[in-house]
Amino acid sequence: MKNQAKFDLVTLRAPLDDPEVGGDYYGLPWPCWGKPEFKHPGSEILYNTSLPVKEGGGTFRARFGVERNGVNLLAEGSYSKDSEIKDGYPEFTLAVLKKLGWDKDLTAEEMAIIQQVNATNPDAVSWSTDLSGGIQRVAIEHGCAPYGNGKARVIAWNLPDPIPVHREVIYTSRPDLLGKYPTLPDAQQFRVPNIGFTVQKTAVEHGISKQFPLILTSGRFVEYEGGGEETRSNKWLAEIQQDMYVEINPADAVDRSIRDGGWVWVTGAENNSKTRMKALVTERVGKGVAWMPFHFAGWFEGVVLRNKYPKGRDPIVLGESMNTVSTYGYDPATGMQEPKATLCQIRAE
Amino acid sequence: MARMKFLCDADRCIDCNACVTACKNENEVPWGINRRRVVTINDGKPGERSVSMACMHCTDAPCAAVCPVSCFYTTADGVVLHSKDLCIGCGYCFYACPFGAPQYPRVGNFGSRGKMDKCTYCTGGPEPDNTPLQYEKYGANRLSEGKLPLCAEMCSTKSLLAGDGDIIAQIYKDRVAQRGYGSGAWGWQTAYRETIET
Repeated sequence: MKNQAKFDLVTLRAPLDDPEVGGDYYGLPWPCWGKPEFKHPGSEILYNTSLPVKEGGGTFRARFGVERNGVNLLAEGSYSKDSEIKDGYPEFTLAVLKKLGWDKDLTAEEMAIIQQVNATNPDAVSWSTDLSGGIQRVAIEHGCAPYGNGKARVIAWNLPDPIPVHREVIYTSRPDLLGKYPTLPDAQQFRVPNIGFTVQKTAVEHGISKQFPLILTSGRFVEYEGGGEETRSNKWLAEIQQDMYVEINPADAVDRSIRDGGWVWVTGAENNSKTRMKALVTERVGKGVAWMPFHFAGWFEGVVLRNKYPKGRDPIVLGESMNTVSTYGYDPATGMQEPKATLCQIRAE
Repeated sequence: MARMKFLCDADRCIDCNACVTACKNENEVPWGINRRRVVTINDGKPGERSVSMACMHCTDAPCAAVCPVSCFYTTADGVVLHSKDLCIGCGYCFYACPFGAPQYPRVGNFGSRGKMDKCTYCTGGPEPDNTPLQYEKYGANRLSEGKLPLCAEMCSTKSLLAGDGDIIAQIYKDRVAQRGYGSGAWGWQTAYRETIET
């Protein structure tokens, strides 16, 4: 923090004449190109063609190839300040440098490292795999962004939905919408099958939304970071919220004879799952919606499991885990589990 | 000499409890005792507001006015402190305080209280500055090191301001002028018998 005071509060840049951090942007924001000796100042704004790349300017990354269906995907008539290529260009590899005649600017040491990175086909070594930093350095010395200069895209043709469309959650409270907005068909994704469509269809056939009429979602305490295990081991933070709870709308609470602060059982749509926690009756959630924090653990189906923690590693406060009542669902593009929205039923203890 | 004050900009407070946590950690305040707390009104309804509250270090402090053993004193910086050697734990200050600041960490037989504990504006107490004895009784003494109370220093939205009253009032005024609204300097009329004209 020694140099913190030198940075301008508006431009986030240190004065050019400072011996240590001259010209740097605060925190050296990505991309901060090249090796430390290159002294790139960081790029405060990712896309900024009004500055040379060397001073923190940037183009739109040519990430999706150079051409698709006969249409040029590289920039046209747009380039960063002082760029020697006055047009779009692909990401830099040794082959690209050779084509431009810029490979002669690489030092012998840089060239030797590039040869080591890919001994059989050094031409394929790109700015992102070149451990010498030479390809980045040479591209930037010629005013070019190492990752190319392309166009932004609106249609993400390599994703399951090239343009996002609405799809009902697997466990939906509105089965009537499934005809129009079903989830994606079952498919093998990465190493595993995603059977979301079958699960969604089966849930409707079994009338799950009648047995579990409340939409259940989860979220974070503003004072917590992470899932909670570490945070609940901090005595100052554990004190602020000592009980696991579910937020429920006053209208839903009255229907179920649930009192604010009273114990309730929340049951989930899969595996006969059940959890015991306190109720927070609040208008913060709408009618038909329930909300839980996802920080707690250490209880399972109403049983306290403190003795299962390794000795001295149990958090200060324990509670039911939201995961116990959450259900099936995986994002088709990333394989990430998607338990954010599901259904539940709540009854007073 | 500066007149130190607290100002909580209720339009900015997000109820993150960073002030509470910072205070507890800096001053080793025990579980169940809060020198500072965040109070939320209309929780979950339109118009929900949160305010971070602690001892406001009042002008002509009511706690001092009712104390039967005169354990309170006001420093040259306008910070209201008390001596735990003199305090008898009677609890009068708790009834007099408009902000609910006095805390009683120890419970005794028949409902008797231990020595009162409250926010010191991170200024310690009557013992010599920055001694282990002072820390044990009153917590941190940041002011003597040229630092402001840690609650305000840690505030994630700079809702809670600490410092010379005139300076923080000006910061608040500028803020309100720029954004075009402000619900006022909460508690200032009660604590300092003044408001910030915006």
